[in-house]
Amino acid sequence: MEQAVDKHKQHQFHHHTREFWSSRIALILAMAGNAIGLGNFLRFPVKAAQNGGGAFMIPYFIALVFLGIPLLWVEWAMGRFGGRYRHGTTPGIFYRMWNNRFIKYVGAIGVVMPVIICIYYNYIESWTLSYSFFSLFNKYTGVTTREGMGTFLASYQGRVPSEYFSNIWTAYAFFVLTLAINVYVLRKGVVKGIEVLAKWGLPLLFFFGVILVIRVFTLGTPDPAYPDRNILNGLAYMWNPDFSRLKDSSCWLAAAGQIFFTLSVGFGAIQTYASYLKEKDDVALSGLSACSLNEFAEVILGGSIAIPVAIAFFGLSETQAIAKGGAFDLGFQALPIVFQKLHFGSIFGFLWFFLLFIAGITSSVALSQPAMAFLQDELRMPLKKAANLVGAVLFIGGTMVVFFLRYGFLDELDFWAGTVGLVAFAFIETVLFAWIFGMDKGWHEINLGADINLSRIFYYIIKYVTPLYLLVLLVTWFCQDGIAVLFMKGVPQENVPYLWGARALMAALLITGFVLIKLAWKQHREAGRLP
Amino acid sequence: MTVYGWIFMIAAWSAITALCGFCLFELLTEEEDVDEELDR
Repeated sequence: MEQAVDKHKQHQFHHHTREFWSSRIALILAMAGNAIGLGNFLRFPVKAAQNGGGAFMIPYFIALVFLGIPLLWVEWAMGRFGGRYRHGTTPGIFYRMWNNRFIKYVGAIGVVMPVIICIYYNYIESWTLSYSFFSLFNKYTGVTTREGMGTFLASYQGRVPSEYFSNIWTAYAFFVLTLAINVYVLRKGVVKGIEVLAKWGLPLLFFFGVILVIRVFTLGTPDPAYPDRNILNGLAYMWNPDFSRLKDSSCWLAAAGQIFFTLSVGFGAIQTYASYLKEKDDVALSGLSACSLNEFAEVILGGSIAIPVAIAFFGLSETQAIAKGGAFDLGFQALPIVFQKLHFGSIFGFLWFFLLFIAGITSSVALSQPAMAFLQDELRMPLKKAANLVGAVLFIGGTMVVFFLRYGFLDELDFWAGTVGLVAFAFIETVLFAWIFGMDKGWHEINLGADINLSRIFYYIIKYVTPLYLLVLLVTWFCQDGIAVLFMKGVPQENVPYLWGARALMAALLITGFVLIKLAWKQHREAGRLP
Repeated sequence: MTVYGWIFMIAAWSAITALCGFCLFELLTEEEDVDEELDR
């Protein structure tokens, strides 16, 4: 009996099969779901309004053409290339692109970093789920000031006890529920899990988004006592161009950063999704289609909801103060007050937060998938076992985030993995693709099976302009914030052990990644699967 | 909202709608090509 089980296991190990996307539309929706996240609806409008309004769109579109779209094509092409060799993650993909014994360890970043990001992203995603319930069941009804909603959020997060929440357990329960939904999707696999989520989730997200935009645009002047507070002035704040901001390098950096985050490049997740393509499936048109859906969600829907509605209800000066507090203040403190002032406000509140939840979950499963693919492709782990293991890691890390949030634990993970790490990794992969793998081979990969003819200009953009753009972003961000964060300048003494804890967690995950890669390659070598 | 505000909003929306339209057109015509090949 034991022999039979061993034989079965050996068979599985040697005859590992990978899934493929069942249709092109499923692929595009899943990739768009990966890209469309909370940032489309919260981060974009705040960045645009703070950096010159309509004028912001000039550096934004330039960054889209010279940084975002080229990087998308690079990552799609790399992913499909890796899938050809049954590698769905960057350790294997990098190894096939450059037969160097160390490069696979650099590729570990493309598996570990999305796990680190997902650890805290799941928690933020769980706030959107809980707030959609709170909206529907009028939990925050009666809290009509920003200070009140601030206390509501802070007590929900366990920072301060209040009449709304006396402890953190509600937040923790929603976190566990969110993680359970994620693991459920992952356990179903690519076709039955991720595809089904994207096929239902994305149309629903766009439907909710359009309903909210129509409601916002028909608000007029909600309070006649304040004639300046109207929807046209809201749109004016978003779109009236301030050309003087274009002289400021921070405006250009903000636009490049926004493009980078919104397209979800540099995570390692696009490569994994693209690895489920067949050898000659198009990447050029599909990549561009996913990008265009993301831009629709960001500029047209995202730019038309949060900021205009805040101006219509709070006026210019207060909205500016809210925007200074950051995207989360806008989404979780200001908008719940607005919804209470609308007819059927609980429904609109639900639509807003559930839209954010859909945007969040389609991104968080994408962030988990590189780890899933690594365990399945490189260690030949069965699907459900891999999902349980990834879920366990996310649960342990996420629990730390929930309980240590007030000590800056989440911010530390976000800075190193979610900001600097992404740009650094994107820079490495672009240099590897264009200069080591070779741009001629790279260009051939991008155009293989392409359903559109790409201008040769992109050959040169990918080779010269995109890496330079990334290098400037990386150096500037590191010099602006990196040194202060590295040496924990201005950090309260009580937070220091927690920030070291966050660094230890990241280091432990990275070392685990190295060890697993070493183990996997030993198994590959023994099985004769290496070139 | 100023005239420039309207121009920038309409230009940005049009650019993105055009990009979406281009992709949709290419995707749909590509499907037709495949069908035509199958018919042949």
